[in-house]
Amino acid sequence: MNDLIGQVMGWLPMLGRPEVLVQLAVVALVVVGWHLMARRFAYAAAAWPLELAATVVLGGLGCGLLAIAQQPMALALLLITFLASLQVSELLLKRGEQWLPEDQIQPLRYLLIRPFLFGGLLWTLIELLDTRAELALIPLGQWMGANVNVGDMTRLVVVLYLLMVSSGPPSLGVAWLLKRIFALERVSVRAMGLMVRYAVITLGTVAVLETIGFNSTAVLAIAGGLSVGLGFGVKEVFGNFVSGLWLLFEGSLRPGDIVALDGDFCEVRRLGLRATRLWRERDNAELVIPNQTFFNTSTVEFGVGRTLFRTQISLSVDPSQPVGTILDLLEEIAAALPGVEAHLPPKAYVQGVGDRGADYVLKFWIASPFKNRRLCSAVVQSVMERFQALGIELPYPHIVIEQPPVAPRDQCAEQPSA
Amino acid sequence: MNAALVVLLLTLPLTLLSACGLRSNELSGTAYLAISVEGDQPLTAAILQEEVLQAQTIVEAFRQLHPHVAIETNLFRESAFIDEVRRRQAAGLGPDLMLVAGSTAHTLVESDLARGVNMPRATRHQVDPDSLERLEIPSRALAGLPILRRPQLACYNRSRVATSPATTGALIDQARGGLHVGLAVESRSLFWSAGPLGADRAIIAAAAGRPLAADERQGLQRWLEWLSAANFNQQVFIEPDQESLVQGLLERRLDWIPCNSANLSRLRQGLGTSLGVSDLPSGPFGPPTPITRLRVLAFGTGSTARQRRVAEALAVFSLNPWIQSTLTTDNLDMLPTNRFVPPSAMNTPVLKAMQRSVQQADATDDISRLLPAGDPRDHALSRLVTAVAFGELTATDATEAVVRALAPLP
Repeated sequence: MNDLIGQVMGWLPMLGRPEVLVQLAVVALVVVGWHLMARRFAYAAAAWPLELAATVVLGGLGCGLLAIAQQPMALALLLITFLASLQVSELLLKRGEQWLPEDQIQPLRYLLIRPFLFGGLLWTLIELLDTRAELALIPLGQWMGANVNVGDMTRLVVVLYLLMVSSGPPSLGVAWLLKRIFALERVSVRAMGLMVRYAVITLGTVAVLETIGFNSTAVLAIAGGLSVGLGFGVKEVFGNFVSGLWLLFEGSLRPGDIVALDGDFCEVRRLGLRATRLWRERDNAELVIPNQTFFNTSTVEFGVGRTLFRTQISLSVDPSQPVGTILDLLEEIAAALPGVEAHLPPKAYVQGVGDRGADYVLKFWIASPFKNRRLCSAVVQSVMERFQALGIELPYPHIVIEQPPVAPRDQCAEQPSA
Repeated sequence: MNAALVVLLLTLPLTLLSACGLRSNELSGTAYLAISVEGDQPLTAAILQEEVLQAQTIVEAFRQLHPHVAIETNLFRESAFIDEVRRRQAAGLGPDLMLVAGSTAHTLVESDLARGVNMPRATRHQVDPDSLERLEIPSRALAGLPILRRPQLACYNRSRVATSPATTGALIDQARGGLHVGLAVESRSLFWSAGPLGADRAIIAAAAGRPLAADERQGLQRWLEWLSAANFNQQVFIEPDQESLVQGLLERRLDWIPCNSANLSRLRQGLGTSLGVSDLPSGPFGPPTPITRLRVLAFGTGSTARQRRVAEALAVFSLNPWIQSTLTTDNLDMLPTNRFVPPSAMNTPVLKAMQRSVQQADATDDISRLLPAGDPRDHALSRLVTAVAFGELTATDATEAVVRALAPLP
């Protein structure tokens, strides 16, 4: 490691050459010009193209002057190209926002485009300041029976990164094919894609470790140790992870499903490997629920496309009213209300006579559980209005205060004496 | 704005740092030394060690005298050296010093990637005249300072063969007797065998673009026939490059190979006392024609005044008799270019073999000049030699093809 640090420190004096400083100054001027332009047109819709144009024009001007003065300019050109590429990528991402969701733009920006641009810049700079092949041979030490050098470590990191970043779409493709070939209707493509992806990452890692020369016994020992660690230290996380995989594989919970959680209906927004993200209609809140919750508790679930929900209201009616009339009235009122499913007729039942009067239940179908609260309120409102119009009393608790009669003796006693 | 500030904050201290100490007479600062590596094989730690060994010794000794000096080394392939230096020079990041083959030093100066050197008469007087002659450029300047010579030798496993065969005929006879002989199709590794078979003059003539005389053409055909016949012998192994030969001897697959003195440290480490070193076999038409690799220090053009001072001081230091003698006797894998290295320092069998090889190599100075390392014609010759060795081309057909391939490019 000391050799590597020494080698990297050895690059610094090279940057102190006047020709290099002049190039860095040109790049600094381009950056200043770009930022001034960004500040001036901060609120303009087309700010990014203007910034890109500023970089290209100023950069071209700077490099042109260097060329006229017969000064080296490859370093300035490289750095300006990098800045322009960064701006072009931002421009493309802005355009991409029209047809790509926000949660896919960010990974694209921070996991793919920027790392690739920075990696490319670093790669080219190293090649200008040093020799990659020579740098790769700098030893880092002996790990797990292998003499590891900078080249091995770089290969390991780059391959792992590429596997993690780029294995997603191909894995989903393979999963889709597998699903089609084996007619696995109930298994989620995403779950299979994840399985394929983890298999590819694991195999890739093992292959790279093998080519570097890591002792396979040591690798197995570490894998064993990790398993024990997973068992004790992070069992919750691991449990949630396995639950997530299982949910995906089983297909019992999918984005768009509606689940009842603590009496509230929520929509499944995203099924993650550790937790599931739900949207609660009541207060527009997003809930992050550990996946294990869905394994340890029974959950009411409405799948996508089958959200028809049967709900009910209860009420008491004056017991002197004829039961048949009330039942017909209730069914008629509910059926006439918009939002109540007409093809599945409402049904009213009498449950008995309670403290306040005859107890009725009115059951009816609605299109989505999310409409339950509003439609129940609307049905109750219609019933009350209709019953009031018909003179049918909806009994409610009455408090009768009875004052005992006052005795004449006491009245006399209270009369003042003459 | 923040990014601009960062760039300015980075460049300001560097400017101040680079200005510090300019008035001091004490040498200080960092100079960049680029070292060329022959061959196209992938760079390994062993090759790296082999190529930087002498440079490291010189730098370590120099730093004892000038502790405030740092030398950073970079390795490049000889064939890509010019392009690499040009690319770095275009960014203002070119090396201050370059340890390269003599022919590469010439190309560097011709391409304005290195500056010619005017050596003081006293220093010039110390240097081996043949080496100086190879580096002369117009205006009595030099393309670089010759630092060391790496002659071509015969390396063998003494536990398999007591002494190296003295002639090419004996070499093939011993191969028939079970000696595992290795030859590389790289022309620079194989050219030693052209002299013993009378093909050297033909190759030089073809490379110079002169028409070949009948006897020269016959000599060239004889050499190609010998190569073809050698490969039909089951005990002669034709390898793609010099590095494969070295690996073969280290792994004891091969018993005898032509080697470069630069390989000796590694071979000694691998074979110990079993390593035998001798001059190459001669033949019915003359002595061997080995190629001596002259290593030269050339000066970059993009250095600051301070880096230039460090580079020049290091170059002059590496020529002094003491360091040259130390380099020669410590590693026994090179010959000095300073004529005033005490003769006692050269009195070992290995160094004597090297000296003989250098004398024999005088005949190949022309080929080194006409066919520099990395020249595309060199690759073309290697391809033809491979075709002949593996029987794809007859020696007669190949003779004309070799002459055409070696013709100078317009």
